[in-house]
Amino acid sequence: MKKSHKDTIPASGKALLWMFLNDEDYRQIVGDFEESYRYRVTTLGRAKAVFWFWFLLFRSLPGFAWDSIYWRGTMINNYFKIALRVIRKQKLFSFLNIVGLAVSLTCSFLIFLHVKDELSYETNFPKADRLYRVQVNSKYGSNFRNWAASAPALGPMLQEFFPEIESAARLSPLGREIFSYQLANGSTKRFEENNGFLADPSVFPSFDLKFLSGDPQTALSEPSTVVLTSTVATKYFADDNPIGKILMNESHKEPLQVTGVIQDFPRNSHLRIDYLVSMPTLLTYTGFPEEIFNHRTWKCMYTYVLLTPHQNTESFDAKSPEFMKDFLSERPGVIEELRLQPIRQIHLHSKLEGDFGANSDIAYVYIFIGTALLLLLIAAVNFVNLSTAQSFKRMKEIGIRKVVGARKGQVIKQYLGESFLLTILSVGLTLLLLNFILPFYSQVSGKTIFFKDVFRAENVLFLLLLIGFLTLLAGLYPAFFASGFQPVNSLKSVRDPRSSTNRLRKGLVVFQFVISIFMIFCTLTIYRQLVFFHNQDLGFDKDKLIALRLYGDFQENVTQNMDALKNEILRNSGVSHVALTSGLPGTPFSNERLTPVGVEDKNTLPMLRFIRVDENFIETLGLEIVQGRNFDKISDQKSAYIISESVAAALNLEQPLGVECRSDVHGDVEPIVGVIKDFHFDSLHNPIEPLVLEYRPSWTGYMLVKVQGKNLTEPIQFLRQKFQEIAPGYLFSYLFVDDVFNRNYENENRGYDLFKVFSIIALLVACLGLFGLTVYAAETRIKEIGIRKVLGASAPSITLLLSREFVRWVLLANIVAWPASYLVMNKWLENFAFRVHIQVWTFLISTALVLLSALVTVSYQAVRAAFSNPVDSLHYE
Amino acid sequence: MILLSRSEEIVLLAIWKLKDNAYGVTIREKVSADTGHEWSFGAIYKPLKTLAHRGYVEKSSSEPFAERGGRSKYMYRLTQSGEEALKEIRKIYKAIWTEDIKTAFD
Repeated sequence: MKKSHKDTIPASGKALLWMFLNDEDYRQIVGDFEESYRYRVTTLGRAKAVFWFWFLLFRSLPGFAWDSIYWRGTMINNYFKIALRVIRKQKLFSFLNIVGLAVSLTCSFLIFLHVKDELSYETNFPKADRLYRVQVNSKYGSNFRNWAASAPALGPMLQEFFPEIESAARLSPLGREIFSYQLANGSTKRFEENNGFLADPSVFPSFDLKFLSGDPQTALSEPSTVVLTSTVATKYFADDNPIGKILMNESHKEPLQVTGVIQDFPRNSHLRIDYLVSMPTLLTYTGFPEEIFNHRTWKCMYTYVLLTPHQNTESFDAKSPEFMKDFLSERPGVIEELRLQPIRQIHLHSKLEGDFGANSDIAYVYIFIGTALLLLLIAAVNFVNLSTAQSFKRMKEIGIRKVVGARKGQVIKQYLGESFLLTILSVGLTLLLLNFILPFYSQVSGKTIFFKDVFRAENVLFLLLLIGFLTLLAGLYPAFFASGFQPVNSLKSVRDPRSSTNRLRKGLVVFQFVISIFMIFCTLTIYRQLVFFHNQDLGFDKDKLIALRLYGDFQENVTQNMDALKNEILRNSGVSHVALTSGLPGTPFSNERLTPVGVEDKNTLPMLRFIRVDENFIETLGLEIVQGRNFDKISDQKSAYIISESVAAALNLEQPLGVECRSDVHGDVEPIVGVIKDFHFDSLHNPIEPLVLEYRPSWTGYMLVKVQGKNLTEPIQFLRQKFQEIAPGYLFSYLFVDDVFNRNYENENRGYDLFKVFSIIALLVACLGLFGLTVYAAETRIKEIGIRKVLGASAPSITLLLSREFVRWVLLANIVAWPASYLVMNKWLENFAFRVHIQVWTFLISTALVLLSALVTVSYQAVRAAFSNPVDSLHYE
Repeated sequence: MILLSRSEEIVLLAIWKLKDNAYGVTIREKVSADTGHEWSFGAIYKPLKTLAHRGYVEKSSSEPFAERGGRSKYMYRLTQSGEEALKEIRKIYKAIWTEDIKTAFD
């Protein structure tokens, strides 16, 4: 019988049939098809026969499919029944499994929500993939400073030079400003606005900002015009039409005409925009001449470019050096490079000078995903351990199934079905838990998530994927394990049931302890770093320091009559110092250069941090003067500098006192009158930078008030009252400097909060599994314990016997956990210029904590077994 | 009383008619010839399984055949209860298809 390949039906058809039919029916049907097919090949020819085959096959499929579903359904029904019986019979084990899985699932789901949100930044802008922020890397001396901000002239010139750029939009941040609106009845609505920008009109098409009223073409073309988001518009104008109304900017004493209302800016963006003011208003706000828009190095704006469709940054990168050569031709010595930063990456990747506050970090996204996976693994390990332990009890069931004809595949399916059912039950419990937890979660995370949001398509998909993943992860090993039982052995049940999987179970428990120790160690180290943040001596005293925002007329009033006002305020016994400053510690100070007279090439000089202060600043913050003197109102009338020690080093000044220096901002030449000790005016993430204090009270924006005594509300009330007296209508807004400072550690705080909770949960879930295993161990060794007791073993010695092994596991886990956690935490600590050192006792505490939890878990069962009456355990033999 | 679906009934009759040569290919051809429609394997497979499950037919496999790609034929044969079922169907038909209906439709 010669077999010709041409005579057989197509393999793809066979494969299709195989999917729908069981083995026997497959053989039968393929045989039938084959026979008919060959007959048709001889009568009709091959081409027609093939066509006939496929036609018949597709007409047959519905019948096969229906049949396969029907018969499989019957079998699944049986598996389902058995699974329910098993769950009901093994109440404790099922409970441990379901609770462990549900807790892990809940945590993973919350992490999923968080990660999803972190990754969703800027996705609300339809053109986000084409939008870039221009990053400027400037070379100062030997090092680069990478800026998120860029010069006013850059945007328009880029657009002219590069055909790749569809449009360029500049945004210039405005800081805290006070707006007021005079109502028809004479009363005034006054609010502080923090999120405003001067903007080019091209920002609207680039970010696809939708106008609710007003004309996008003309809205921001005239000076002193403003576009509000709908929330802000409603705040001032309620239901009135805002278009054409006049808002008073009290900070700059400048009336602004409302020319448009846009939809609220999306929350998940690195930009926060409440209102936009037309770009020409910069001149009326600051009094700068028109030429300021041609400035090529002053980084006061953010330039966003929209590339033409299907354009990558390559051609921009290739041409930009040429462009910069031309752009900076009048500024010899200035070396700058341009980069395009995709806006989708800003939230998680950007760490540039002039970023809007601290961005989040992709590392935390990975850490969260890792944590979720570890939690799921721990729960899955419980499942594997408990169900392999139980399989021995079910050896007879599986033996019988196999004897009456179950194939290996069917036993596997049955076991997978059981783990599926348990997973489904724990998902049910998860939903119940989420119902309770989501309100709290929304509070902590600041994102409003309702229970009904859980059922959004992507969340449901995630849950389904998790169910599938867990079913396989938890079910596969026990399934293959149990299906491998030889019916002869399992029915005789002669083998010692403890020997064969014991090693794996031990390994898995050790693995769980590794994770627990690791997470507790991480939590402890993060906690120590946070404590360090709060307790580290910053070189100044940030406690009980209140900052009051000064603006408009009132600011002039204050700076001119500071002495009188200061005396008034100091009369209150709760206030010890009052000072003026341009910047608050913990927020970025300005970047400027100081050129000692006589130095020719100022481009080689480093960038320094600058703030403007009055003569009370140094004693209000408690800074230490190491050389020279403090500012003095009379002798420093023409202004002067006090520098930090590192400035002296950076400028190579051996004798800094009396050196005359020129500022590149206002060009005045002033002497250095003092040197202060370096102090942490910025977060401990960063090394201490050189700082220059300039005596210039008229350039300040905050009044710092140092409060003494326990009561903080009383001095604040006093200040509020005082300010109302001097300037009626002044919007009193205050900040605590330590709050401002600690805002830099938000990422670390949030990470700690999560890790704290999750490491406890990981430990609890691991202990659930351990508890189950101890119950099992006590059960299988019940006779051994009975005999030992009859022979005279004491209760303590039996407790020891049962718990000794678990202690060994925990100790074994340390071998892996310690080096792993050391490496990870060492890497994490490298984020901080000032950090704690990893210490041995942190390891010991983590181990002790895990050991203690394990012992408590184990000892309950061990003690119960030890005190049981041997008669009960031995009598039925 | 035994009630079979129409397709089961047709397939059962075909098997009876085919005597010792009833297997997938022949049954399909017979049924298609009897009814004048082309039946797919899927269409006879379902009634065949139900019939076998209810015990009206029994299945046995033959020696492998070359023209079936080296696979066995699965032969079907009516059982005692299968024959009884046919008899009962016949009885019911006789009862419900009265003479006046026949003359009206033929």
